[in-house]
Amino acid sequence: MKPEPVLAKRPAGAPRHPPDDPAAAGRAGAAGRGHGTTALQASRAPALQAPHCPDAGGRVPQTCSGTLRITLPATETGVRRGLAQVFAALRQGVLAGAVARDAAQGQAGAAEPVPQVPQSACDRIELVLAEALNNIVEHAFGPEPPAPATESRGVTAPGLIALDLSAGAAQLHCTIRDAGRPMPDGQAPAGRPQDIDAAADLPEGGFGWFLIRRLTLDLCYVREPGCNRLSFVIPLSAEDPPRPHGL
Amino acid sequence: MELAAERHGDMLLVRVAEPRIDAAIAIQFKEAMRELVADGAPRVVLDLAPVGFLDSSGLGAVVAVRKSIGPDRRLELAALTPAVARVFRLTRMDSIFTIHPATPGPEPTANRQAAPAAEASLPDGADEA
Repeated sequence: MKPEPVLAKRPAGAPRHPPDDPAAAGRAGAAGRGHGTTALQASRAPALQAPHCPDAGGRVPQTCSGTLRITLPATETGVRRGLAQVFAALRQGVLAGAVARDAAQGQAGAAEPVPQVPQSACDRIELVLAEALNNIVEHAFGPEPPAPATESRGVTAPGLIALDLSAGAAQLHCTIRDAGRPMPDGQAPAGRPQDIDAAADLPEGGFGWFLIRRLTLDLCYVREPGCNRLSFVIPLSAEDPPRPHGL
Repeated sequence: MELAAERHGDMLLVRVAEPRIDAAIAIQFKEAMRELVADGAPRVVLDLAPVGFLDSSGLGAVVAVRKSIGPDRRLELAALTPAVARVFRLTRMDSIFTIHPATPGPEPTANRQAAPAAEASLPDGADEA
């Protein structure tokens, strides 16, 4: 049995997916579609706390409200389940604390607005995270990822991916860490648009980094000792970020 | 990998009964499609109405199927959900494929619910303004 992704702290009443039900990921991802928005409503569910942030030198961060940490095995099915957990958490308002707090700034005295994330922003989050995580599965850990190892305290063990999310009013900050191989040349791929003008020789790959860069802001890749660290910001707007020059 | 194929004259209608075409399933999808299109239908229509998520691996698989059936046959797409349409739009693959708002031909009864939703969500273009 493959281990399911570990949620740092699951809110009371949060459903668990059956560990070996691959369809659960799809169902969870599909749930909520068809609505204009997904509820990031300010529920009173306890905010998730990141118990330990290895990238912060072992210090427990001062403010963990509105953050979500998920650790998942570096496999394609692990990514599916991890994404399902992200969206289950989003629907339960796990990140709502930060969203509501930010949204209320400058509106002192006003009733806290109910933050709503457009469905297209949820779709964007799912696509970007899937691309980034599956790239790690494929390239950092190779075609045959090692069997998921147990997580040691404060360290991303080989075969595991740590995903940290924190929400602001208009943006989702994402940091992904893994102990796999570094990116070639120590840099994240440029993600240039593919040439699709030659219909006879259409590219079948190379779209992943284009989509990541197209849909994120402030992307940063750093190779830390024994660890890849990729961070970026996903706008929560209904419309995609402006098309950068040349893309 | 759940695919259902129906032959209607020249058209082979393939309905994808999966909620996701992603890295975990792209290779299976590609292989299953290659078997289905081996019947030689000149026109293959891929009904993606139930597919709520498609990533770059899924996109690559669809492109691979198109290339595998050769230049004399057509692979068309139908009933894209908004998330799937966005991937085709951002990568400009929407200019390569003929994309139908709804499933063409005899309407499969099971698809009656999906078609109107897909129609309403078709290429908005607004995101790319």
